Amino acid sequence: MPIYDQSYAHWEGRLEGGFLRWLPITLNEIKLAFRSKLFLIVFALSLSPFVVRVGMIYLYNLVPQLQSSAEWRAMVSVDGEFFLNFLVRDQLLSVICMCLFVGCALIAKDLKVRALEIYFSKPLNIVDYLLGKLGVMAFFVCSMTLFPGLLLFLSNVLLSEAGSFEFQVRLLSGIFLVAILTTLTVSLMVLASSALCRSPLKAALLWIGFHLALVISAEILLEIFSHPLMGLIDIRQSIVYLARTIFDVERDTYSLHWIYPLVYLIGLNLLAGAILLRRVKRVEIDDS
Amino acid sequence: MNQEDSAKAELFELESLDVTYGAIRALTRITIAMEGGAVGLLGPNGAGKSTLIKALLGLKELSGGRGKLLGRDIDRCGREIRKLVGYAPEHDCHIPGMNGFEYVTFCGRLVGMPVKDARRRAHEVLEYVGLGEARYRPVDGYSTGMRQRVKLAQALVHDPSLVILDEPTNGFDPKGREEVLDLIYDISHNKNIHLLLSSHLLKDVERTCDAVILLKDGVVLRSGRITELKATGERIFDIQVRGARESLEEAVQARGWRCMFENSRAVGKLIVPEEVEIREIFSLLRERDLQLRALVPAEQSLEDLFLTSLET
Repeated sequence: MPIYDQSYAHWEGRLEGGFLRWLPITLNEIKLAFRSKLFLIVFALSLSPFVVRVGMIYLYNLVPQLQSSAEWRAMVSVDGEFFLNFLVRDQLLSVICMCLFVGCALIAKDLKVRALEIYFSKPLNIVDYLLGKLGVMAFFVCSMTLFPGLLLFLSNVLLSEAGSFEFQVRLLSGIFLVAILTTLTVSLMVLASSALCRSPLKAALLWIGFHLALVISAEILLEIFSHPLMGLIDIRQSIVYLARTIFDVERDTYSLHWIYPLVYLIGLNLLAGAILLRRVKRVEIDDS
Repeated sequence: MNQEDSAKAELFELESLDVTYGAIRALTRITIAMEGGAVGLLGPNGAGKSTLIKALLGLKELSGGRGKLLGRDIDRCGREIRKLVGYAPEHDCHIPGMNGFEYVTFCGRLVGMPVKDARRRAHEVLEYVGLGEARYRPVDGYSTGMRQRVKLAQALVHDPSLVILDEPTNGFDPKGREEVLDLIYDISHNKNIHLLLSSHLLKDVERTCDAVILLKDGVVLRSGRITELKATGERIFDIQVRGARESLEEAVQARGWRCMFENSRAVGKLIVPEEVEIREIFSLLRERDLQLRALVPAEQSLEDLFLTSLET
């Protein structure tokens, strides 16, 4: 039987749309990422620092003997320092894993198989496409920072004596701000790397190389000039510096106004955004 | 006339449309109006076919002029247009990591279909394009022909008013090509969906389209319904002569007729005005002392039209 005889029915439904037209891209990529068993294991392991911290809070509040231990008290004292360590130190490796396993492939694999032609033949524009991809990174980085941070906060509020309302509000807004700052910076940087290559592996190497170059440069320049500004070239240091201000944690020997790291990070994010827009637009032109 | 009616009346109308890539002019002052139905877009490589398609989809910024597709302004309503249009690009392209069913469902979701409807439609169109059995296999592992079919399925999933297919028979074996051409004909002639088919295979266009646009160097050479374009008031003969072919060419030109020979062979086409009688051809050959081996009346094909348009 000729294939065209197998009926074609018209569809009478209504198309959805609006400002969430990027959402199917995000949801689809998240679904595809969780399909890999290796990634599932990595994802679960990446949450281990969070599980350990929750367990510690739970044990501390369950076992009265632990509450008399100064060591334990210091470890589970849920304050700005606690969240600073959790968000930008404990979870650092987890965030890197998310970038390497998911982020580096997000745009590179689309460039490899010319998927952009398919995306842009639909009612989407470059911003929708990039928002969709950014949404994926936001989900995975927030899964390592914001969501566990909020759960830790809640566990503490529910299980132990909470501090003043003002203190809690400051902690909560601090968690949000630091997690969003980390998510945005990490996501844009990794997407920019991904947009510069057609191979996920090359994108991963580029991303790692760029960060290592910044860390090494910061160390060298700090050694030469002995000025705290030089240390801020390292993206993580800039985030740590801002996070200290946000959580109102005592700063180290260097005193620097928080505006410097903020301007630096905004500059990097704008640069990454410009690379993304330019690359995606350029590919669209080249393909024609 | 409401917007829908106007969409049925005019597939697209372009007025002095210019598209440039930096200093290069890809399309120059294109002015054309096409009614709905099946339209073929013909032209050699670099003629501007893909650029015209992208301009129609609202994906290229116009350097000048204006145009409407299905009653929508192509410069301002790109999104709206792409909701009404299904596009299968020329290049081998897909979204990686999914099977055929997931891919087509996802494409439906990208257009804005609700999940349930997108899934149902994905099953239907995959069956329709002949991928029913292979729908759960990864698209990355599909053959070239299967990828062409899945491209067609993703273009059809949201039941568009117009389907734009860019070289849709590339990579098919002869049987698969026949099947897909039947399918394309069915879409445009029985399913009430307009078709814009870009192809360098003239026979594919002739078989599936009612109208044609000939492009060269970003300029429209000819356009209109194929039957009207073919009715040129001329008669065409396949001719074979023995003797100096150049002599025939000279004589034919002297009378204001035309002839085209394939490379150095003495076999070619003779194009004469309709009122010319065959005996005039015989006498011309006698005058030039040429021996006639064959003179067969031929129907003007799209290929003849294409070649003569390119020559002129």
